[in-house]
Order: sequence, then structure tokens, then C-alpha cells
Amino acid sequence: MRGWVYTVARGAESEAWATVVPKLDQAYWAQQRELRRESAGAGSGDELRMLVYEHSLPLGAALTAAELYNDAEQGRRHAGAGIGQQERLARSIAEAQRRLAAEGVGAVADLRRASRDGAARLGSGYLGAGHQGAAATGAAETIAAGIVRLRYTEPGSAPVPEIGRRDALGEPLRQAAEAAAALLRGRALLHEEAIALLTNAGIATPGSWGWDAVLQLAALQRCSGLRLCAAVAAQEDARGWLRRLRPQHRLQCRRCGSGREQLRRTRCAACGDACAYCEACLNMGKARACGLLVLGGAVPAASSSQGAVSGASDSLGSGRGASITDALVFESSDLNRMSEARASHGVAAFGAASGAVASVAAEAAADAPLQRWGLSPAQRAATVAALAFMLERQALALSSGAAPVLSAPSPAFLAARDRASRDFLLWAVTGAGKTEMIFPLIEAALRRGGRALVATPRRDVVLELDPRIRKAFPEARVTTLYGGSPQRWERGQITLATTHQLLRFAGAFELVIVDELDAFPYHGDPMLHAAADRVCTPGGTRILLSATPPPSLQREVRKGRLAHARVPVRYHRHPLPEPAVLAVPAVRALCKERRLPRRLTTALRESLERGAQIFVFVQRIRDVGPLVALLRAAGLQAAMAGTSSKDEARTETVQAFRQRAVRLLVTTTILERGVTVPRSDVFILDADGPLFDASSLVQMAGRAGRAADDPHGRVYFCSPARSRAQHAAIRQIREMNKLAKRRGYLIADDAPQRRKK
Amino acid sequence: MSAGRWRGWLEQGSNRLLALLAPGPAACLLCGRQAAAPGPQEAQQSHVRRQPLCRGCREAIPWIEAINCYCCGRTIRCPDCVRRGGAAFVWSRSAVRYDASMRAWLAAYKYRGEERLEPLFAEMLEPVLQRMTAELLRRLETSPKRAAVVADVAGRQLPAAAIAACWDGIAYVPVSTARLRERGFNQAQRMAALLGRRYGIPVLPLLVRTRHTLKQSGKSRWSRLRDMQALFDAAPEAGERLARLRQSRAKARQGPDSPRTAWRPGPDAPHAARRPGPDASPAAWRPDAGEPSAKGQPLRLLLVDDIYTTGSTLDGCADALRRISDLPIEIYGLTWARA
Ligand SMILES: [Zn+2]
Ligand SMILES: [Zn+2]
Ligand SMILES: [Zn+2]
Ligand SMILES: [Zn+2]
Repeated sequence: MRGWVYTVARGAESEAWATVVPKLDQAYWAQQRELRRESAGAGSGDELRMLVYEHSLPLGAALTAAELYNDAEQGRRHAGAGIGQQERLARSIAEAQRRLAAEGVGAVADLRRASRDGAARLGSGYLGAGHQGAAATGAAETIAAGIVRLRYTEPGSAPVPEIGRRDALGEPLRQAAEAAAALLRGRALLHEEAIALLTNAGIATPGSWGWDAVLQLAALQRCSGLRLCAAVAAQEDARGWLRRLRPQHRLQCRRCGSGREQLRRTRCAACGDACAYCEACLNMGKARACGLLVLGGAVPAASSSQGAVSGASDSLGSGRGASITDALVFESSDLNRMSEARASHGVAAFGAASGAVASVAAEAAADAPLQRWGLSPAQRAATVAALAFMLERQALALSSGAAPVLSAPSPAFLAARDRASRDFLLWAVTGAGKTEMIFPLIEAALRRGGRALVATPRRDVVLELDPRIRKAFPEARVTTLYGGSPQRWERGQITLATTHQLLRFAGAFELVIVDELDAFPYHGDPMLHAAADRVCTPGGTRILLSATPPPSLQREVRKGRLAHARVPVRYHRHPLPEPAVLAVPAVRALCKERRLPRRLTTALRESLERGAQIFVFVQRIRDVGPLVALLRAAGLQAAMAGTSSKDEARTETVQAFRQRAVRLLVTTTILERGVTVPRSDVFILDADGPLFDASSLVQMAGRAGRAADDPHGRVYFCSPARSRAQHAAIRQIREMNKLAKRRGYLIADDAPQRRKK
Repeated sequence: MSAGRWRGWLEQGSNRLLALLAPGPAACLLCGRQAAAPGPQEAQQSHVRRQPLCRGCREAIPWIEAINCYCCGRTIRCPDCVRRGGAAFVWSRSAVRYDASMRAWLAAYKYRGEERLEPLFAEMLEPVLQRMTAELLRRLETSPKRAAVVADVAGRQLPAAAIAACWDGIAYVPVSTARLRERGFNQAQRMAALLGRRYGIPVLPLLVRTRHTLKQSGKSRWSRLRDMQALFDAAPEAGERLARLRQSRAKARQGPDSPRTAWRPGPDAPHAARRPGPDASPAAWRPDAGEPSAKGQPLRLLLVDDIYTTGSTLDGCADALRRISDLPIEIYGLTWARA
């Protein structure tokens, strides 16, 4: 798209705007002038004047120029007057062009040249003598077919009768703008996505005005804090101390945060420029430098229990009286742990006296009819800690006045501090039953009129969670989002979403629950981390769920910088099976020599004899086939199969394994999570290999002993050497078992069982 | 220490540094898997050389190797062409059959806007352009001696100069302004531009779309054809451009063997008009080069589009061009896929 940039001045103050519908802006400001005139009396000399750059620009340049102008104006107010308004605008435009053009994002030379030409054209365009002369005499604007060639609007010289009238914009347009802005709260949408959402919500464009006019008016009136910006724009890059002194500007996708490596410049027919687009988030629509990103204002902080969802909270509160009376008995250790977490939290208010903490915790207990959810003691303790954290955050947000608006630029360190104080890690071992634990959290958020989001990495998990959530909260509006979801533009009280869908939100949820943030696709994807980072409202809480938090989070936990609660025991209250270590040569060597060591075949035979299903994990896909052949030749007398991400019949193979038609399944890490088979043992070959880190070893070990009737599955780490990852994994498992024992979560007379090998 | 040794060390060091900086094995453009060189089972002339593709994606390309309809280059005998009779274009060829995987590729490029696929699409047109040119040379050749040369060379690969000499210009099917603004690019124009730059054939904006049609499906074949006829028009300056092209080509053909500058894809040549190097005198490849009058020679144009469905799009475009040209003009279709 192409847009226009202009300034509006009143006395010494002025601000710049960019627009794609200049007609609307003109009408709007003419109307503002009329209103001022009426209130101040004509001829007060303090009238609105509009100065429009007469050529259209690629929209990104127009928006950036307006931003730059306004930034400079902020500074100028302190520094005093300098150069004229006209020249200030010209400089902003030139600087905007420079920032957008100077970068060679995947650009070939001729594209760069095209941009340079653009900049040169501009430099001469504005300051040409003809224009200056016209401006100096205060020539009136001319409007032809919606194209603006307007320079100054002077008092009493508006020749267009239409826009002088107060109702030129019309009430329907104003209403549409307000409704649109309200619907777009908490959203970060591309131009066409925003229009799709508004159309879907049944809003009609009034009269001859289109969607662009509705959005532009919302931005001009700052309805609900709505802002329009370029989807790809030059952002200040403040990494490194040197950069902080002399900030550089780099192109960045404003939707997903990707930098130049993910941007591609092409000759764009929509704006006529060498225009960059983002390849990282292309699956969600094209974010480009000349395209709009519509940023709705943040969802305002929910206030107490008189929320918008009173109907739902009533139904949730049924049986509340009973739940208060049989409220939880707090183990003192729980309270201590919570106050510890809080004291080390880094935010002053959280270091409150333990009395306050206790009262908040008690409130949490009273507020949440936890009984309803049938949690185990370990689940309950962790949930209460998370609830207390959440309530405290909310109280803090309310006491500190209105929640800060997302659009207000906040220094990076403030944002980082808020991030640190906003996250709560629920570290629950594999098979702990984490889904049950999120229900009370969601309930608490809804009771306060807030909205909750559950983000999981995989689509199948979303689809599996959907009916459980709907059943648990029959009165709540549930929205389930994934690629191609029919509910794409709806907004519920509870939102279930795959990770990529988070890109369409910003500052939208009081409670965000992020499941498995250590797993694919978050793992190593800064785009998804950035998305998961900003979906929270300013006063909201983010709960991170993981059985194997990444090392960075574990470090934060150890340093006491991250509030957390551990669930060290499975729902069936038996300890986690501790891995035994078997010295076995590498798989490649086994296949080469066509021989399996006896200690391995013996262990396999024992497992088969005790009736267990056997997972055999290998590092690489190419190991699967040869190993299956080798095992089949070993005379174990059991049906065997192999599968991997490349296996087209994977679903059927796994199904056969579940139904025990296949007893032994050789696989890669694709089955590391999610697949639970009741009575099963786990053999991890090449356990010292580089693809198995401590987390994936713990996850694979977590396949064993999941069922209550066979809680002691067997786990073997088979490798020629012991790796650091193996040690770390075994230590993690033992620590959790120890913690479970100390807290008395284990079923009596069931000490962690060790097998000697 | 001698300067030579220093230089040796420096070179060694910089080579090592370069090795460190060099990217690893390229990733497949489509699926991100490791790219692989074309296998021996792939036909000699139909493969993608420059763009990285993995084995799976490579093998998924349904190249059109043998055709059964002279008119539209289809793999089966087609009643469409028989029924239509005289089309405004001479004939048309396509690179691939439009199957499910090609549909997915085109969707990624055209609708999702993955513009990094552009060079791949353009490169896929190269083998078919090679074959079209060879076919044209064979058909037009009257001297048996030169026909033998042509047949021999065409069996392997034609030099770029031969291709450049054979075609006077490349036109492309336009999209409506609204589409262009929404999508940001016209896939046919982009393919044409890359192809023109590769072979040094001028690419000309000759056509405009007069109105915005709805999706084509759901209309009867005849109403579709009727719609198409009125859908395209020659661009305002098209006649002038064609005249200028005719002049420059005539001069190039008849002028003395002037020294030719080596052709290289310069950044400043969006519609590359320079001629390829002198590995073979381009004029020698022109089958009808010996004819006396420049006026009598037809202007031979390629018309590029992404898909050939019924041929009505190409027909409409070719018709619009022929209507504005008072001199003979031959138009050949070149499309990426044949539906
Ligand atoms: Zn992006
Ligand atoms: Zn653009
Ligand atoms: Zn591939
Ligand atoms: Zn045919």
C-alpha cells in the first residue's frame, strides 16, 4: 500500500499522522477545527493547520516518518524551537526512507538502487521552490478525486463545504470505529486479518466509507488504544552496550519479531518500492513493510469478581459454601515455600510480610473450590501455590492503578522485570496429571472476569483438550484455535491454541498457560517465544508447565529468581522408575557385527516375560530398520515393529503397539512425549548420543510405569559410555523421588525400588 | 620470512575462514530437507540445476516429456484444440502436468506469497523453452544441412544465443490492478523477467486486464471463452513498443557482425535487452534470417503464464496483440503447468 503523511499543528505544537484514506483525515481534522472554533470563539488565532506532503509514499515510509516526527517533537518541546515545521517533516520523511532502504535484507543491487532513487526523488519533492512558495502564501488545499495535494489549511479558508460540517464523518462511522477498536483489543492482526475479524463480527462499513476509514478513525481518536503501524519496520536495536549508546535501526517483523535473516526484499507492486516481507510468519499471512499491522489496545485489567462473566462465575461458584468449609489444610511447608519464592522474587511489593502472604494464600484457598477437581495432595499443593501467585499479581496490578497500555513504549528493562515477576513454573514430573491442575487456575481467572489462554505445541493436544475443557466449564465460551480453525476470529473466555496462533494476540489474557515450552516447536524458535511473551495483559500471570524445564529456567529456579512449584510425584503416588545403566555398544556397531550383547537380550526377555510393552529408542531414523531386523533375529519371540517421523503408517503402527499386537517398538524421539502405553518398559540405546539431552532422556524414561496397576516400569540407559546428560537425567529423577518422599506424597511402604544389574 | 610464504599463510588462513563462513549443504526450497543433485533416473533435459531441491521434491515434479497435442502441448490427445480450430497463438508448451503437488507448489508461491520460490519456477521453464526452440528450429528449417546441425545440437542443449536469436521478445499474461495490489506481484511477469534476463530476451509489458473476473470454475466452457476474449487488451503503448522492438531486431539481424559485449545479468537491466556472447553468431541461428525484407519477417513472441487450462487466456492475450499489430506477429505460449 501507499500512504500519505501530514502534520496537524495548533500554535507551537504539532503532531504527524500517516494515512491511506486522506479524505477521512481531512474530514476529521476539519471537524476538530470546527469544534475548537465553537468552543474558543472564532479568530482566536489558535487554529488547527494541516500540512500534507503532496506525494504518496510506500506506507511503511509514511508511518515511520510520522513516528519519527512525533519523537522529534517530544524532544523539541524541551529543547525549544529550531527549524520550521515544514523542514522537520521533510527531514523525518528522508530519515524514514533512509532507515527502510539502507538495509540490504536479501536485497540484490538493483532493488537497493530502486530504494535510493526513491529517496532522491523525495528529497527534491518536498522542498521544491514551488511548494515552498505556495506554503508561504498559505495557499488553500485542493482536493481532487480523493487525492490530496493540500499544503496548509488556514483559518476560514476551507473551500470544501462538505468537510466543514460537524457531521461530515457521521455517527455510523464513529460508532463503527469504536466497535471495531473494542473488538480488536488484545489483537495484533494484519490488515486483511483485522478486516476479516470485523466482517465476521457483523460490523458493517458505513455509507461510502471503507474498512480503512473505520480503522483510521479509530486510530485518530485512539479508541481503546488502537494503533496502526507497518508490519515490517525499522526498530531500534539496543543489544550490546555499544548499541545502547548509538542505537542502530534494523528492519524487524513487528508481528513475530524476526530480524533481517528472515526478511526478504522484493520489488513490490503494491507500493512500488523494494519492500521487505517476513518469511518466518508467512504461514499466517504476509507481513510486509507496506502493509498495516493493527495493534488493538491491551485488554483492561479485570476487576474483582464482578466481571463480565457473572453467569459463568455463578455456576462455578455453586457449592462454594461447602468448599470454603472444607478448604485445604495448608501444610506449613507449602506456605514457607511460597513465601520463599516470593521473597526472592525481585519485586519490592512481593517481599511483603509473611502474614500478608498467608492471607493471600488463604484467600486463594477459600476462593477456589479445589475439592471439585479431585486433585492429589501434590497436585493440590502446587496448584494452591500457583493460585496464590496469580492473585497476588492481580492485586498488585489493581493497586498500581490502571494497567499500563501495551502501546506505551516501555524501556526494555522495565519489560524484562515485569516478565520475570509474571512467570510461574509448574514443574510437574511426567504422569503427574498437569491437565487437572490447570482447571482450578482457569476457574480462578474466569471468576475475576478475566480471560484464560492455554497454549500447547501440538494441534492434536489442542483437539484432545477441547472436550475436556468444555466439559469442565460448560457455561464458559471456549474458542479453539489452530491452523484452519473455524473459530479463528472469535474470542472466548477460554482460548485453546496452538503456538502459532499466539501471533495474532498481544496483551489479551490475564492468565496464560504455556504447556511444554521446552518442546518442539518452541524449542529454538525465538518467534514463538516472542509471541508467547506478549499475549499476557500487563497485570496478568503466565504459568509455564513442564516436566523438563530447559536449563535456563532451571538456573533461574536455583537462583531463586523464578517463582515455581514442583509436583514431584505421579498421580498414582508411586515414585518414578529410576533408570538402570547397561553397558551396550553403539547401535551402529551392533548392526555391523550382527550380534546383541547377552545382558541386553536378557533384560529384553525379562520385560517380555513380565508382560510389558517395550519402547526401544534410538538416535537416528536410519538406525530403526537395521535394529528391528537384528532384534527379530535374536530369538525373542515377540512381534516387533519400527516407526519414525518418515513412517507413513505411523499411526497404525503405534495403534498396534497400544493394542499389544506389537510387543516391541523401535522408534526415535518422535514418541518421546505424548504416547502413553499402560504397562511398558523403556530401553534407550545410544543413550550417550548427542541427540539425547537430559530432558529427552527424562521424557523417554517417563513413558514407563504410567499406570496405577503397573507403576514400576523399567528403564534402561544402554550405551558404551556414560554421558553428562545421563547423569543429569538420573539426578533429576532421584531428586524428584526424594522430594516426594520427604513431603510424604508417596503411598506408604513404597520406597523407590532399585534393581541391581 | 619470504613474501611468498606470507602470502601462502594468508591464503590458507583466508581459505579456512571462508570454509567456516560458507553455508552448509543447501536446504530444499520447498521442504527444508537437505538438497540433493539430480539423480541419474531423471531425464537428461528436464531437471532443475541451480535451485536447491531435495530428492523427494525433485522426483515429485511431473515433467511433460512427450506430448500428444501439437497445439497445446498436452500429454493426451485433446478435443479442445480440435474443436477450437484456429487459435490466435501458434502453439503452446508447458513444463509440468498440474497435479496435486504442483498445485501445492503454485499455491505456496502465488497465494501464500513465498517469493523465494520464484527462481525455481523460472528455472523450471528453461527445459521447456529449450525444447520449444529446438522444435521450432526443426520445423522452420528448410536447408537439410542446417537441419541436421539443428537436430544434433537440439538433442543436447541449445546455446543461450540460439534461444535469444529465435525469440524477439517475451510478453506475459497480466493480472488485474486490484490483484496486483493485493498480492504485490504478478507471477507471470516475474517468471518472464527471470527468463528474459537469463537468455537476454527483452521482456515487454504489452497487455492489460480490462476487468476483474471471478473465479473461473462453475462457468460453462463457452461462456468462459467469451469472457476471456474481452478480458485482455493491449497496453496503451504496446503498438509503439512492438514497432521499436521490430526495428531493433531488424537492425541486429541485418547489421554487420558487430563486436558483441559479453552478456551478464546486470542489475540495471530489468528488461534485459543485451545479447548473449558471441559463442555462436545469433543471426546464424535464425532460421529465416536470410529473408530479404525486415518488414516481411514476423515478430516472434513468447507469451508466459503460470497455468494453461483451456487455452482461452493465451488466446485472448494473443488476439489482443495481433489486433494492434499491422505487421505479422507470431505468438507462442509458454506456461509452467498444463492442467
Ligand atoms: Zn514475521
Ligand atoms: Zn510493498
Ligand atoms: Zn524438498
Ligand atoms: Zn491440445
